[in-house]
Amino acid sequence: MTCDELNPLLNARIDDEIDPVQRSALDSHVKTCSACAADLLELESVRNAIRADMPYYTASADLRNQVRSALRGAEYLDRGARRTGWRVWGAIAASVALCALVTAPFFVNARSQRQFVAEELLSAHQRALIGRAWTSFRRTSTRSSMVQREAPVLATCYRPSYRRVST
Amino acid sequence: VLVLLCSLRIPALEFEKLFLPHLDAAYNLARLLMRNRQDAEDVVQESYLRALRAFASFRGEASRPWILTIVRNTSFTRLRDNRSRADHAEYHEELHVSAGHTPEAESLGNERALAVERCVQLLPSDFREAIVLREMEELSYQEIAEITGVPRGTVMSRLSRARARLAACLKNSMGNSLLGGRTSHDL
Repeated sequence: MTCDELNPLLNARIDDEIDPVQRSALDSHVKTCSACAADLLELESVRNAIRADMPYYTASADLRNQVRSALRGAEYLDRGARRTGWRVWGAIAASVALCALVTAPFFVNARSQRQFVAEELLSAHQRALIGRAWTSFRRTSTRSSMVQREAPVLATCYRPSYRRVST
Repeated sequence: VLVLLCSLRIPALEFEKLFLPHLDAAYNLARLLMRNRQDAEDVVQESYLRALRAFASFRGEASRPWILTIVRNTSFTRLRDNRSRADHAEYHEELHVSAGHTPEAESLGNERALAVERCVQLLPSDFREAIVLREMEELSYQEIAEITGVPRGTVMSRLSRARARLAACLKNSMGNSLLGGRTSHDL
């Protein structure tokens, strides 16, 4: 391979855009080939000259302001004209959804609290009833057949009810 | 109401936050492609408006190559228009460039800087953009390939030929001081 043919690879070498296998092959070639070594030095000096001395133009404050105000103008007029419809509705929907999301826990809490109170009242009532039934049962009868007949009924009464209660 | 206002303003703000920081890069590229300040500023402004319109197609990739692609395409469109107009008016690019020693470069008072800039300006625009994107923006070959719409191998050969021309031009304008001064590090 001639040095001219290798030139693109030498460029890739200084730009670090070469795979490791090619790189080590190229490096060992450059060590033995003075023409390629000179080319490589020249490439590096060109690159250094540009990096060190090439002026980087920066946007003036005027241009920055112009661009910014052009963008804002375009955003509201040009783009806005076409898309205001769905964007406004989207924004309204988003705010409604957010309101719902924020206030939802209060509604849910209030509702479950009411239900909790209702259940507490009911089970207290049930316990009172059962207690009274049990004592009157003990007083009136001690027959085992009676116990067997009544026990399932009592068991259902003791089971706490989590079903929704309509009051 | 706050949410409503915020969600209406978000696209514009997001765009500004992403792309205004690259305004210097955009201007520098446009300035070196268009070769004069007025055209460069027009190109930058037009590019940002185009970018805003194309913002819906932005998929969160690297923002600097994205905006530079638009700047580059806008510049080339405008250069083509200028050229077709200039053909009628017998416009000479060489004359234009040598007359165009810019106040920005002159204020640096640096001969080297002037020579380097002049040599870069003399490159054909394909080579010039490759050099600007590689040396000033430090983009990878792959990114440059995507911006300029050519294969990676073409980027490599353009850079190679551009640097060969630059070396010749710099030697020509500065004698051997270029090679004498800056060969400090070896492999």
